[in-house]
Amino acid sequence: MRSKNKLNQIKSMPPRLISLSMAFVLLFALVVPVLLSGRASAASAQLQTRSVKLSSSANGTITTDIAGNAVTAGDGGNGQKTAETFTFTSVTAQNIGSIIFKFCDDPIPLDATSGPADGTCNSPTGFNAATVVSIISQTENGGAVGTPFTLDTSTVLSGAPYGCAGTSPARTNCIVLSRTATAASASTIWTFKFGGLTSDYITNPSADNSSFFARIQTYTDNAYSTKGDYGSVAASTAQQIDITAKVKEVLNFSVAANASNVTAPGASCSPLTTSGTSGAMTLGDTNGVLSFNTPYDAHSYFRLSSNTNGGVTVYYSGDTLRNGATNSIAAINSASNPGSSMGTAAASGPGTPQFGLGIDSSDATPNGYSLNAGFTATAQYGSANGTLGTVGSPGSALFAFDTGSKTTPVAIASSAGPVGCSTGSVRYIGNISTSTAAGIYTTTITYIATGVY
Amino acid sequence: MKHKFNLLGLRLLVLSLLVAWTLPPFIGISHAYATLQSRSIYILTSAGGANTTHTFSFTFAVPVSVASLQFEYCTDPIDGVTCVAPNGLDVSGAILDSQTGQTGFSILSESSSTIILTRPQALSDTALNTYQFSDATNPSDIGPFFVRISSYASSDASGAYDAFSSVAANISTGVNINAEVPQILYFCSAVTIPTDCSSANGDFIDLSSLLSNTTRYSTSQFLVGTNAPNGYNVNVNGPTMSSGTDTITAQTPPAINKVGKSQFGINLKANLTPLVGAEMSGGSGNVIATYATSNKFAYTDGDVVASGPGPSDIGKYTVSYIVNVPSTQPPGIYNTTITYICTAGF
Repeated sequence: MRSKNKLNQIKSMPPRLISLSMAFVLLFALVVPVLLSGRASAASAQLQTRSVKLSSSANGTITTDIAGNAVTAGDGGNGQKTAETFTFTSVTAQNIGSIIFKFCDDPIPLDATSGPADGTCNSPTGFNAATVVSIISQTENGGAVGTPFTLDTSTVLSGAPYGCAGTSPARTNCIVLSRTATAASASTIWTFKFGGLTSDYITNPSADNSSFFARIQTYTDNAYSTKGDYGSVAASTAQQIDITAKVKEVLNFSVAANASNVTAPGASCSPLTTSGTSGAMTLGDTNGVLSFNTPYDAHSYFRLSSNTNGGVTVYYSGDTLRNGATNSIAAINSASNPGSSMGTAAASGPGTPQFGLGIDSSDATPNGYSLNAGFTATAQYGSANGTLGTVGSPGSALFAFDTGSKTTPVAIASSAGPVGCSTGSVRYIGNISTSTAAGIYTTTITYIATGVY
Repeated sequence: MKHKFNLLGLRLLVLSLLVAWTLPPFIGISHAYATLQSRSIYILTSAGGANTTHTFSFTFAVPVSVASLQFEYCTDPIDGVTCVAPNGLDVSGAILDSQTGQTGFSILSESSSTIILTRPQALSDTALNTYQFSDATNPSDIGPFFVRISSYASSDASGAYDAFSSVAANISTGVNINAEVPQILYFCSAVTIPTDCSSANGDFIDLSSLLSNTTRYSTSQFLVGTNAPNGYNVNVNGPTMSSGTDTITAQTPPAINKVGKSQFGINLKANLTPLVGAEMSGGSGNVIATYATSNKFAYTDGDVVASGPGPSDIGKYTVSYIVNVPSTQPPGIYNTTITYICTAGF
């Protein structure tokens, strides 16, 4: 019914208009196939299933990511050193002796009388294929190419009818392959990969979101004289999306001198609390009195978490116990290391003046909130767990103390990388002799955490 | 129709401007810059409010032109987030003590929370750089604080930075340790004291039968140690040996052993005649001269036999006793009780 109506409409048109329309349709049917398909020659046809795959769509000036880090040649973020992989299928059974891949800003050849014209080709701005020095790979129907192509860098194709800019080997807009002319059947699937290496690459056009095209022309000989199948492929640069997400530098470090301030860290690694007298420690008996024949110890605690990638070091800084300007309790290992209180750790020996510290891995107070694996005590500060000994019989716990830490903090524990929630227990020893001057002895030990990001 | 189109266009324009204005902060669009690597801040003390030294270390990931460096102390490390200076922080008087790596900088300006260094523009390398500032006052609050480090091609930290990163540090509670050392006087006496006072053993010496041709002798020991600044004295107290009204003569002044004479004496030395006694060991005390000559003995009730001029570790003294009697010595059971008293001068 609807077709009948349309027929009636045509019938109602003026005869002259109908004739003119008919003439236009005939002309269109005659000309367009010649212009668009180029199938004027029985010996050549448009290559089918053709594509070009770029390793990067970044423009040709880009070699780094947003953070300034260099992107490897052939990776998605490097537009300066890209790889291109061509895939296409032959239509005509014929010899193939050479192939020209010509890069232009337009895919349409101007003269289609015998395949694409090799005329005007504006090279995409910034594009450069002169740095292609090899065929990275080539396949024929998925396997090895029977007669492999080689990169032709010697034939000059700069003039008409080829239009390759520059002369070999500086063809900025052409890649040219040749081999001994060999028969190829119809429907042969070809792949060719070029570039993608540090010194063997293709540079994309320099503008973002810029289309460019490769005109592929096969020749039945290796003299680039008899055209075979042909076709164009399109590619485009694209604006890169720079995504930035920020993770804060984290260095959570807290110190307390009382077990009551050691709370469960929870999922967020809660710091040690500062309620009460969190920084005050009494070393001695219940009244804070030391004895020449009884060793006394006490513990302080630190909790650390950090996302450093270069590691964290915890230092201590302070003096030994002092009473006024002249009286002090000697650093525990100073006697065995005269001139320097560093060196090996020493055991607790009641009856001998000693002040020292070390990490106590057996301290029950942190209730399992121990130092994480990878966050370890410095050698001489890592064995403070054990007995404290009796007069004349040193204990098994080892301590050290460096009075030089007052001006140059000394590392007590460190990691090589990030630190999960770690809680450290530092054990202090206080021993005196009968000749240790009476008085109130004090010191302040400061702990410092430094992370390398 | 035209009016409707213009209205729609205006709405789209306004919407576009609004999106362009608000979106960047949320999706993190900012200018490209290099990050600083291996970066850290080392503070000499973590005490809140302390005047201390801050040392920065970092490397440039890629070479950049550097004419100024800015160190900005904030409570948050993220660039683009408004910098709030940590409470109590003051680096307005900080002094650039040293610099390594990229050098030639001097302080251009300082505020309480920002230090800007300047130099003639030069291309950096990727080696380690350090900048140490003294006279920096730590933040007063316990917890982390951050320093945003940025480098500029401009000489005054103006314009866009070419490299940026933050470092973290932490103010923490110091551990204040208190301990009391009491006045100490460690003193004990016994017949034998092998180690310390807990091993003291015996309070009775039996010299057996006294004979006129034989010297009877024995020893006892005492330990003394003290932290008394003015030292100590040990006195010997007790009468000479007696049996009722009969006595054995206390030797005075010091004299050698006299077999067949009435003689009771002591000393605190190692002797050969008779072979008895030992030198004192340990501590820093001295035997008083009267009792400090080998093979000579004396005894006077109340005499100081040992002393120390000041604090002394534990010293062990061995007291040797000799007894001689003549053939005329009245028979009887002779005895005495000797008491040692130590007095320390605090």
